[in-house]
Order: sequence, then C-alpha cells, then structure tokens
Amino acid sequence: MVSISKLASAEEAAKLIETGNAYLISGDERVLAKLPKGNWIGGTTCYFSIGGKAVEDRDNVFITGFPEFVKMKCIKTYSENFIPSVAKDACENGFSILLMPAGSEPSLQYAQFSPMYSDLFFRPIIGWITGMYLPDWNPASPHKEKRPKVFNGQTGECEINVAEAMHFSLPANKVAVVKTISPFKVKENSPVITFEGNNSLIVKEAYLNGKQVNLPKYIIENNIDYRTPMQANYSGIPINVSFPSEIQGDEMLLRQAVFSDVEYRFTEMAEQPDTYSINNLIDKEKYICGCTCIFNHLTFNKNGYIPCGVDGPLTFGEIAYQIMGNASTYLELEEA
Amino acid sequence: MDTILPSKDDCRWRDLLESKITHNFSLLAAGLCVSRNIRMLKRKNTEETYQTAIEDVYMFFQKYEKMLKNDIAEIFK
Repeated sequence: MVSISKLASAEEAAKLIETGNAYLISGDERVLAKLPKGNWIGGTTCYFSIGGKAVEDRDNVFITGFPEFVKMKCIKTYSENFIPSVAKDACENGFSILLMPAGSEPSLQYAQFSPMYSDLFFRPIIGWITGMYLPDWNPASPHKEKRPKVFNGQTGECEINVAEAMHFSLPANKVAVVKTISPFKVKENSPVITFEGNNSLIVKEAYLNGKQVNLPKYIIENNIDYRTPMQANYSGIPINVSFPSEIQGDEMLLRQAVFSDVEYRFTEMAEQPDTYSINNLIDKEKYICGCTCIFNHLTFNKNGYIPCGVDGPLTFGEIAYQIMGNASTYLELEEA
Repeated sequence: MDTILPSKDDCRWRDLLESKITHNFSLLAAGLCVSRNIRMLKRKNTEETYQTAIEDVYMFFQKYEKMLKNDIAEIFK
C-alpha cells in the first residue's frame, strides 16, 4: 500500500481502488457512486481543507491511502444496535476509521453513549460525521438524495442510516495516536454549566454556577456568542460541544451530547496565531488522515484559512474516540 | 519491559481517581479514559465501582505505559 492523502479525480481514484489497496474516500455522492467496488469506505461531503484553506469541490474526491505496513483487517457496517461493538471489533494494535451520516441512528447512539462503550479508549478510533452539499441538504427529508451518506466500497452499498468502519492492524513497532485540536479556549468569566439527565442532545434547563436557568433563553438574553462551543475539560483534554446554528425558544438541539456529570464552560476564540497555522504543528511524516469541523470554516475563516484546518474533509462532527465539535481530529502513526 | 507502574493497591491510584491528584494528560485517550472513570466513581463511590475503575485505568496505563512515561513520573512522583 502507498500512503496518499490528496484530492483526486474519479478516474484517478478508480485506478487506485483497482490496485486492491485500502482507501478512505470523501466526496460528493455523485462521484462516490461512480467508483468501482473495492477496499474502500466513503463519506459524503464536497468541502475540504487543503493546506489549511477551504475548498468546495463536487467533482473530485479526497482520497487517503495507507503506508505499506498498515494492514486492513476488514470493512464493517454498523447499525444502531451494533455500533457499541465497534471498539471490540478493532485490532489489539491498530486503528479504526469510522464514518457516520449526520442525523443517522448510529450517530445519535454513538454521540450519547460511546463514552461508556467498553474498550473504547483502548483501540484508537478516528472518523467523522458525513455531510453533503449544503444547499441540497434537508435533514428532515424522507428522500435519500437529500441526506448525507456513507459508502461501503466492498458491497457498493450507499446508506443514510448505518455507519461504516475500516479496521486496520499495525506491526508491533508502530502505534496509532489520535489527536484533536480546538481553536477555542474557555472564557475567563464563564459560569460552570452543568446538566441534569444524562446523555442529552436536546437541552432546555441547565445549572449555571448551580442556579437553574433555561439555557437557550439565557444565551439569547445575555448575548452569549453561541458560534463558539461549550467546552469541558477531560483531565487536561478540551472537548467541545457545539450549539446549533440558530437558537430560538426554550429548547435547542446540540450537535453533540452533554453529560450530567461533566462541567462545561462558554468559550471564545483563542488568540494565539498557531491556531491558524496548524499545518506547521503536524508532523507530515506521521500524519495519516484527519478532518476539520466545517463550522470552524463557515464561521471563523480568517484570510482564507480555517482555524486548525488539517488536510481532509470538512465535517459535521469529529470523531476522536467519542464525537466532538468545532475541532480538528487527526491520526498519526508513531514508533511504538 | 520492566514496568514503572506502581501496583494497583498504591494509594495514589485512588487519589487520581478521586481527583485528589489532578493531572493534565497530553494523550487524548488517557484524558478521556481517566476522566470517564473519575466520573463513574463520582456517580457511585463504592468499593465495587472503585475496583472497576482501577482495573480499567490500570489496564490502559499498562497498554500505553511507554507513551505515558512522563505522566506516570508526574502522577506518582
């Protein structure tokens, strides 16, 4: 196998697939549908981060191939009922790539319950929530063509309501490391935000420094900038939960779940210039694949650059073991 | 490889899991794993829950001992 990470035409991608090697592919549904069967999984989007800049491309795909020492164990399709076993299916020393369509049942199950899956943090999992060309997207539509999808290259199936995973093994001298970067920092004066009830995507009430409030109303009435996410600190690791694009009324649907035993805080954009030049921080020799939150591009693109943009698709939820928002996640392979 | 991990009955494991020792991990999976077990123990602080938590965290540290070398040195100094 050859390590590849680039935009390619459908013809070039088809030629690569025909070599029999394993590939991870992101692109517009019409292009993915043209690709031959083979050892690949795909997720729909037509937005990419290339060299830190956003690219909209409905004709080419972003294709990732893997170094020779990376061996594909299998491609597996997961429904909502089977997604909790994704880490158990992974190799003891390896990594898994997981793609789930936005709004799909497995993605909702994973958002709410994956932090409790056994083995989750023992087997590196990276991936993303797939989207599509925004003007054509209707999350409520019963019509398949209006919804994001994942592709199983081995079967040729293209679905809106399953997850696709590729499980890989590594030799003993290599280890996979999943990393995440957020361009946001906690606001110094942020109240501590906690929630009752567990694993919630739909939020009404919250506790701010222990005082119960209706969170959507509080955000509007206090002019909180909800383009930036809430952030929790997981033993030193910042994990974002994104607000919806628009908050109205007394209820909101978050893009990721909140948990009752986690403390969240409002954030603001970090000011250090490194957040706009993330490619300098990434070791290109180790980098395999990654993704960047599309909302960081749509909202905070500065001088053409996406905050913390890494080469790969622009996505609608980033998976680094669990789902996070407003972040970039990527996979590196290191010496064990 | 000789382990540098203290045994499971070292009290500093309990201190880590009960947040008496706070540590900021740089390895994403370590932060998520330790945090998951701290939260589990906060929800139900029983000996049985502690045993489940220490098994999970210890196994994680064993698997990633080499990558967590600096964290282990800092936590168990």
